[in-house]
Amino acid sequence: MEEKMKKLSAVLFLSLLLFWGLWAQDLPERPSSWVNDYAGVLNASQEAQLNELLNGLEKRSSNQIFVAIFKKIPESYYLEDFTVKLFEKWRPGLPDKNNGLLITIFTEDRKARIEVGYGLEDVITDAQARQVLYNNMIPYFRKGDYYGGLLAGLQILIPAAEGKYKIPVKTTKKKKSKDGLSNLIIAFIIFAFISRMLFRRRGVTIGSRRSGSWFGPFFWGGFGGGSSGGGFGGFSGGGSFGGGFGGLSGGGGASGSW
Amino acid sequence: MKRGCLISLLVGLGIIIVLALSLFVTFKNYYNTFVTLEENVNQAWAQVENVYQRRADLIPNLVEVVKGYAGHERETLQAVIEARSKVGGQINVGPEVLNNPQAFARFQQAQDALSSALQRLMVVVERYPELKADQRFADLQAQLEGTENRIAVERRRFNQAVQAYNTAIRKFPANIIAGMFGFQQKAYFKAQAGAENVPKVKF
Repeated sequence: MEEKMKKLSAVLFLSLLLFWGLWAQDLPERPSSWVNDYAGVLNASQEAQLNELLNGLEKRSSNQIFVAIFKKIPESYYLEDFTVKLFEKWRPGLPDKNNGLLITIFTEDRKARIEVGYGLEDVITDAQARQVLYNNMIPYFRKGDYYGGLLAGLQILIPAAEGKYKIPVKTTKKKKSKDGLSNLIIAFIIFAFISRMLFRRRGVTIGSRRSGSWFGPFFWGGFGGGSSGGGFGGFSGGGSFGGGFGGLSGGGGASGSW
Repeated sequence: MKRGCLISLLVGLGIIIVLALSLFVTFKNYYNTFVTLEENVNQAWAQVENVYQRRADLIPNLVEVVKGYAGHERETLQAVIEARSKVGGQINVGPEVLNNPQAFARFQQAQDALSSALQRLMVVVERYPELKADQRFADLQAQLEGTENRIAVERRRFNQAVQAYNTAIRKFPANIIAGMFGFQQKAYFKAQAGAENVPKVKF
């Protein structure tokens, strides 16, 4: 019975994953500008102004804020779920600081969310994000003025984020794995070990006559060079962006509707 | 004749070396992959515990504020307090619980009970407009909302980490090596009944 349940839940889980994979296709690729208007509600100069603002922020402080405006939340998502998955895909912020922010707006659903990266959770708390959303942004959104709302919101969010991380940071490079070298050392040691064993038995000696197990500590020392990486991080920058990506959020922030 | 003997000896030796090396590298790679994946699971678990702790820490303040306006909703408040105290003893259970399906189920049960007690409280609160107008309550509500969302996110990431780990140790021939070194399967979070699609609190 339990076995059956286990199998059933495994199947369920797999099909969920499969669905998740299908849904994930609804998420746009990481764009090459900070402000992304998929709903066509901003004009070119408004978009350029907001981009300028966010470019300046990244140059000064390495903080990254993405804005994404859509018409509707794709089916099979809900607001928070879509936003966090888009965050996972675009990865605003640096991998070691997680100092990114993502603002999503859905014009036809009349919903918006500010998703805060792990590294900014203490300077932009959920309550503060909610206040910015309801007090500064949504009043404009109600009138259909998305530019005004974003501008008003960013005027609070940018200084808040900047209060924490000020030092601009260059792209972090993935560190090189030492696997190759340690494998070579181990190969040599194994070779030495086996050849000693075989040749000694046959009474042949090669090389020095130094006896004893000098390779003992050597052999165990060889285990040290573990593989690197694992987990998240290690994205490289692209396009006009300066710093590279890799930030992650954990569902912090606030949602609002109007 | 002696020379031919030496050559065949060297060839044999070469084969042994290649075999030993490839065996070693295989073991090492599997083992290190398991360690990395298990570490990812532990890390994800620590995050899950963090967000549950965060929720538990919010509750005394929440109860305090609600009491001020809706003190006679005693039953609902009491249910939250009780669920909170049950969770309290179980919060920092450490990653050992992941290898123990019963303990893991108890953990999830206690947390889910707290979730539903909180949901009931939030429904009751709708009847008190003065409470809803209180700025302290609005802030707490935002924090609670954010925390519930964090819980959903961290649980999902935890499940993904466990899935990667369980798959890795169950595949052939990895399962043999995993068995040799005592890597066990780990428990998942299961969706709350009726909450598969909406794992968030609706206020």
